Amino acid sequence: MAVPEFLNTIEQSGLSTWIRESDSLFAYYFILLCHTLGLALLVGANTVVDLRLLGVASELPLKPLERLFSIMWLGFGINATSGVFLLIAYPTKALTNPIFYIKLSLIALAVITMQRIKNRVFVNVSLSEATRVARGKMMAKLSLGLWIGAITAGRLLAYTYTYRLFGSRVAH
Amino acid sequence: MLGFVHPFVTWLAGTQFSKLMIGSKWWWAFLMDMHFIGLALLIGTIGVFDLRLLGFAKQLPIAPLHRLMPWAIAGFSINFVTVGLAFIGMPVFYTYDIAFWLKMCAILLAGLNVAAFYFTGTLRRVEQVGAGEDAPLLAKFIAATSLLLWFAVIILGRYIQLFEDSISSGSN
Repeated sequence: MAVPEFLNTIEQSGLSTWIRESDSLFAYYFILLCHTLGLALLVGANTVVDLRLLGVASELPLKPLERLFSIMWLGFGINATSGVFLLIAYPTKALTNPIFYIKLSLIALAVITMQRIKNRVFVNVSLSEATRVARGKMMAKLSLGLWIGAITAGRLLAYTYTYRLFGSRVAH
Repeated sequence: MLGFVHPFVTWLAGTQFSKLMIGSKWWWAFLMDMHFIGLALLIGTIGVFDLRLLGFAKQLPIAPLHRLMPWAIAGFSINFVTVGLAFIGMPVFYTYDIAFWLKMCAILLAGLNVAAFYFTGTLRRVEQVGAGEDAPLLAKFIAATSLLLWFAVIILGRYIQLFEDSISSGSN
C-alpha cells in the first residue's frame, strides 16, 4: 500500500522539521520526556486507585482518593499534547505502524475504564461503599491490564516501525 | 575519571551473558517495557504519598496510605533488575554516559532521603496524621525532596539516549 502523500507534507513542514532536527532544549527529546512524565502521572495515579479497589490499603477512605482523578487528567492532557507533537515529528513512522493504532485503542479503553471507575465507584454514592468497591474490582483489573498493554504497545513503537520517515523504508 | 573501570566493563561486554541481553531486540524491548511499567508503579505510589504529605488530598489519613509502600518497593525492584540487565548488556555505553551516572546519583540521593524519612522517626510521626491534618514540616520537606529527585530521575533517564539504534543493529 502506498504511503499517503500528506504524511510527507507534514514531515516537510517547519514545525515537524524543527522538532526532529533542532538542537533546542525543547525539541524532540524534551517532548519525549514530557510524554514519560505524563505517563507517570496518568498511569501512576490510576494504579493507586486500582490497587485500593483490589484490596491494598483497604482502610483508605474512598472519597478523598477521588482527587487523584485530577492528576490523571493532567497526565492525560500532557500526553495528548506531547503525543500530537511526536506525531507531527514522525507521522509516517507512527501512522504506517499497526501497533500505533493498537496503542491508541488501548489508551481509549483505559481512559473509558478510568471514567467508569470514577462514575460507578466514586460519584454514584447511592450504593454502599462495600458494594461499590466490589463492583470496582473487575474494572480495576481491566484498568491495570489496559495500561500495561498501552505502555507495551507504546514501547514497541520504537522497535517495530517500517518507515522512519516518508520514503525511507527500514529493513528489519 | 572512569578509566579504572574500563578493563572491567570491556570484559563484561565480552561475556556470553552480556551478549544474551542485546542478542535479541525483543528481549531488550521487554526489559525497557518492564522498566516503564516499574516506573509507573514506583512514581505513582511514592508520588501520591509525597503529595499527601504536602497537603494534597488532605482528607486521606497517612497510616493506611503508607500500606502502598510495598508496591513502591516492587516497582523499584523491577526497575533495579531491568536496569541491571541493561547495564550488563551495554556496560561500555552506560559507563561513558554522563546522564546514566547523574541518574544513579539522583537515585542514591532519593534512597538517602527515604532513609532520612525512616530513621529520623518521621514515619512514626506522620502515621499519627489523620484525615484533614497537616504533616509536620520535616515530613513535608522530605516529601518535596522526594518528588524533586524522582522527577530528576525520569528526566535524566530520558536523556540516556541513542541506545535503540545500537540495539536494532543486532540480530532480530
